[in-house]
Amino acid sequence: MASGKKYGLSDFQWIAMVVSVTISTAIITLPRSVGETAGRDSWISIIIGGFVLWAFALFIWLLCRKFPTRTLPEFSILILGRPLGIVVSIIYSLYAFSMCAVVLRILSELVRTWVFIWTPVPVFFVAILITVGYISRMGAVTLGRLMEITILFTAAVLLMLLIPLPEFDFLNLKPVGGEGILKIIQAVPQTAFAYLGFESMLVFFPFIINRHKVLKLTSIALIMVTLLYFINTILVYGVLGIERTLTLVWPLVNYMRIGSLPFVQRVDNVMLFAWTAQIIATVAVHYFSATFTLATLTRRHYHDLWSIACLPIVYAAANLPPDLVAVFAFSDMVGAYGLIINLAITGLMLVVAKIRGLDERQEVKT
Amino acid sequence: MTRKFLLLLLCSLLLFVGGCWDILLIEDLALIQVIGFDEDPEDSELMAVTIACPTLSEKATASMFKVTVKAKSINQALINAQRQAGRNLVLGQTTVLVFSEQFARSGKMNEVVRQLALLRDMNANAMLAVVQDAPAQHVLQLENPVETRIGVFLPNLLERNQYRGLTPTPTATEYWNKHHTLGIDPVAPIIQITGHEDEKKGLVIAGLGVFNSAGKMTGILTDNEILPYQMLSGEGGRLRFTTEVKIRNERRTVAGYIENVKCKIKSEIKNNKPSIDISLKLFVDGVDIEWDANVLDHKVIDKLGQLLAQDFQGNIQEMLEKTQNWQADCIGLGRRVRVQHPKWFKGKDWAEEYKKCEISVTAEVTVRRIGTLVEPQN
Amino acid sequence: MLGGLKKMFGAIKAGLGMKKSGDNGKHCPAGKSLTKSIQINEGLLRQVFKDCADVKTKKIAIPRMNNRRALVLYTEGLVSADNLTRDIISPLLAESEHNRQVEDVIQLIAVGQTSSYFYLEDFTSDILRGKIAIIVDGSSKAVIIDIKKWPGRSVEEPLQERLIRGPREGFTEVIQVNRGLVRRRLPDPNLKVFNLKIGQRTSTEVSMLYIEDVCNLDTVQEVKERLEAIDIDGILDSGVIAELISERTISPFPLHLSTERPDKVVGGLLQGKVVILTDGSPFALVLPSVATDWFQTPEDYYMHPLFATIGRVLRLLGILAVTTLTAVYTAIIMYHYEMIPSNIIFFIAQSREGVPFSPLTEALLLEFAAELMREASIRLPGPVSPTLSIVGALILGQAVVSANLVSPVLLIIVATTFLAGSVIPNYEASLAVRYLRFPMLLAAGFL
Repeated sequence: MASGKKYGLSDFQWIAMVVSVTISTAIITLPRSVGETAGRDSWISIIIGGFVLWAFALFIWLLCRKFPTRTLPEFSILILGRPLGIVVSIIYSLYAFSMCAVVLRILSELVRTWVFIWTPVPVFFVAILITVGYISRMGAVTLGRLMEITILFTAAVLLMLLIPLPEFDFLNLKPVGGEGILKIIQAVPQTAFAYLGFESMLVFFPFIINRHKVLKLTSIALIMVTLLYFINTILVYGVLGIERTLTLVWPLVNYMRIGSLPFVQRVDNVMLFAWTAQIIATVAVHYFSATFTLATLTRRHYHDLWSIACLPIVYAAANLPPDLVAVFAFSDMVGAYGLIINLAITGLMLVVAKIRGLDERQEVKT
Repeated sequence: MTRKFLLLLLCSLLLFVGGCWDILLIEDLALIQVIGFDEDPEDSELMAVTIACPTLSEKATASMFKVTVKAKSINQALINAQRQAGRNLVLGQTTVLVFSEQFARSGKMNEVVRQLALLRDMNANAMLAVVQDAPAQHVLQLENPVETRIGVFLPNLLERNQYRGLTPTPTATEYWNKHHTLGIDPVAPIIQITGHEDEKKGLVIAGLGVFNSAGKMTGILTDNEILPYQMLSGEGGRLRFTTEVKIRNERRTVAGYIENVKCKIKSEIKNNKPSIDISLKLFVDGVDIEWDANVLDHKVIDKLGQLLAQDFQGNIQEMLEKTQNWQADCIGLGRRVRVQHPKWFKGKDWAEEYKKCEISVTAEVTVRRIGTLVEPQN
Repeated sequence: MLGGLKKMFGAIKAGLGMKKSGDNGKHCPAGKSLTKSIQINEGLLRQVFKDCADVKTKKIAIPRMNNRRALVLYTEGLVSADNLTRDIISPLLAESEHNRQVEDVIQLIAVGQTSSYFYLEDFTSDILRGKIAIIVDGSSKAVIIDIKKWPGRSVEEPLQERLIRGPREGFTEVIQVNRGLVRRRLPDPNLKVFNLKIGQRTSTEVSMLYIEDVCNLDTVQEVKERLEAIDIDGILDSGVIAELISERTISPFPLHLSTERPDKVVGGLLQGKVVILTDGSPFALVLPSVATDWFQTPEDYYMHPLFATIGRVLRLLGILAVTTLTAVYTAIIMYHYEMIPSNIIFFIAQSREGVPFSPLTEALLLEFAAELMREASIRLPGPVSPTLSIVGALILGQAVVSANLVSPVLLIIVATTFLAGSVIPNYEASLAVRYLRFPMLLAAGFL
């Protein structure tokens, strides 16, 4: 209504989007997966991981700000030429699809283990994918508005994390640094899967209203994510103890089973439900960036078509791992390859753009 | 248009096809409230599991549905019990797990808690209790005149006593966390059945069972020794004490509340043996004492503090010696040693080391407030 | 997709006879003009107003014009008889020295706005809207005099949006009064009023109000375009306009805010919104609206911020409760017994004991009954309503529980939902929110 308002992602929407897309299923298993290497000092690894990934976000930002009005498929074609640009875009889409698949699959495993033991897995996939398909057809800005709501769910989960706090014992976290610096650093790559997601900036950058503030906003969001992971790990270790945590497949759920609210006896169920919103948000953003990339390669108004046509791909990919072990292996793989692919793509394009002297910043300003 | 209709159709299909797999209608449930575990007298491999669920129907003649089955594991027991029950047996509302003393001493209790931790619908906050001098099923068969449902009476008994600061009531999760964590061992409250031979209707909390690192109950702290445990472990908020102190060769009873405990534990490694120094600062409040001195005098209060400190110090030392003999570090001194000397601790069998370590206790008592009379005995 | 739906609605409307059929549907012989002969004129007018018994014709002779004959036309009920006699007939019939010309008839009448027309189509609708036409013999012009007096109620307190603290005025069905109510609160030349007529047959007067230097002029332009694009036979209420100018008719949620309160309208205008007033409807449309408008009442602005905030949060919680409470209860009872605290679960389980229906059926039945009761209390005449609440709520609720058909806990939940559904100040939004709970309930029961 106010006359000056532009159509795009507001500051808060972008923060919410980064937070929502980054925090996904990893929070449930992170205390174990990092703790296997770094032990009690996992929280240090997580903070270091946050900083490393922030540096990576800086990298992406350096690339994106060169082309403030173009999305990944557009500037990749501009930088690398049409054939290579298409290949890069398709690789990115595939990565985003596999990210969706992993998150979906982990959620379904989680829910089937803890809540719905007999409900067939395809039901979860179909239910979530239909929602995601519907959301992603609405476009980037609607997605941003949705994120504003899902961030509330995240906040609710964060509050729920505090329920078992009376059992917290600092002795479980001491001594700091007892595992040795080497192990702490070795555990950092384990956090990659947990932190991936902000690379959707490659697609969403042109939609942001205050583009000059993107780095600051993304940093705030990443700090929030790091803090959440940090709090999560500290709490789980402090309450359950490192030895117990390492024996658990889904440490956070076991953690949430301790304590109760006056009107809810089992908080873990509530947390899982609230978390589903978060998962849908994550999947929707990844899915949108993938289909949007593909749609831009063809024609942008084909996005409606792409966003329905690609649902079976995610469905199939989510069904790919035969068992839980394979699921975790798959998620590790996606985390590792995702990092490498994104780093490689961004690095390559940054270097080529520098060499060819492509920079649209001035043009856009004038 | 067709696309949206297709979507709608899919959604509606989802509505009508989906669900119903995990339906657990609340009125079709037998909500297990208490489970009792005994060793089978005939076959030591088997255990006798008794479950108690409240009956919901108004026409039922008993207030609880109770059934005892024999099985090798908790899963088997649940299956066997289900064969005798007309409703779905579920564990989500279990509030107390009762074990017989033998069961706890043989280490089977540990096994059962482990198995229960695997069950996903189990209430992780179920409390534990060990019955002394009687099988667990007797506890479940009790019908207290005030509250005939044992599933309500027993948890209330434990919870109220914890609230009043008389006993800690660890849950299955706490037990399991402590069992797993190096340098601390779990505890569980001990209950006894009260009443005559023919008429056993009541329960009493009699002490605290202490488990060693292998998960076997090795000793029992009596009700007087629970207080030192609570002081050191920091569990149980509102501590209260009654004791006797010697003043001018006369034994006088003292009672009061412990407002605050500040516990400092320092450890040192001497000759490859840990020596632990515990210093306690206690602030006591509302002390009632039978003493003819004027208690508004600083000297008197200080003297009282000293006497109480001596008393507490002795009790704590005694309690620690006992647990050392049982090789059960229920206070968690091992964790302090691990934090303070991580290198030394690595690879050590703490249960053995704990037995050998030297522990010295110093207590300091500050009396903050005293009863309502200036000269209590006059 | 949307186009298709609109077509569908259009077809439905055509089927209901609301859609106009034919070209410029004026009901008089097009382009005919008056003649100097009063006989011919009278014949023409009789042809136009054939079978319109409420259009009255009065023949008089004007003494001052040598007893020239004149024809006075008016619509019964829209013109006050007193005014007609006092202001028009009496001056015309007055005896006087001077002789006047035919063209001077306007000067004889000292009241109201007058205008004159040659063509029939120019003034026939004016007559039907309460103006008076005087045609004098020898003149080919009809003099139209505006002394209309609409039948209508006075400004009253709006029934639907009552406030404890705040102005008691509400809009009426007369657009002039409504515009006046707004203008009185906003005597600012920047408050622009744009009038247009919508409806081929009703040609209803519609005003679009906005404050020029606050409002986004793109929005104004958009609203104007959409209003002008409306092609329909008749506008009976502003609700029709709301439906015709909104983008997605498939969404159950209102994209406008309709209100009877002038203060709410002025509040909207000051926030830079566009207001549409419709003649014949006491409901103004405030465009565009967002979800937060649903739980705002003007009272929020008149009271202490603390209580206003609490009230708003309460209404927000009400929306949450009305959509999810029954659904959550059903889902928990059917699938997640372990979430209920142990001191409540036995009570709930006992209350469910012996109930023959599944929780979902039970909840659906009760919700259906609650909706029925709400509907019935609106439809029933006022004096019977209290009886309904006694029969419906007390007796039915009591009987259904004692017959063990539903559990008392569910009854409590449904009653709470019913209450929560009533706190939303915006009627259209509350409808949408209330009916949303049925899909939620189904989803809870099946998934």
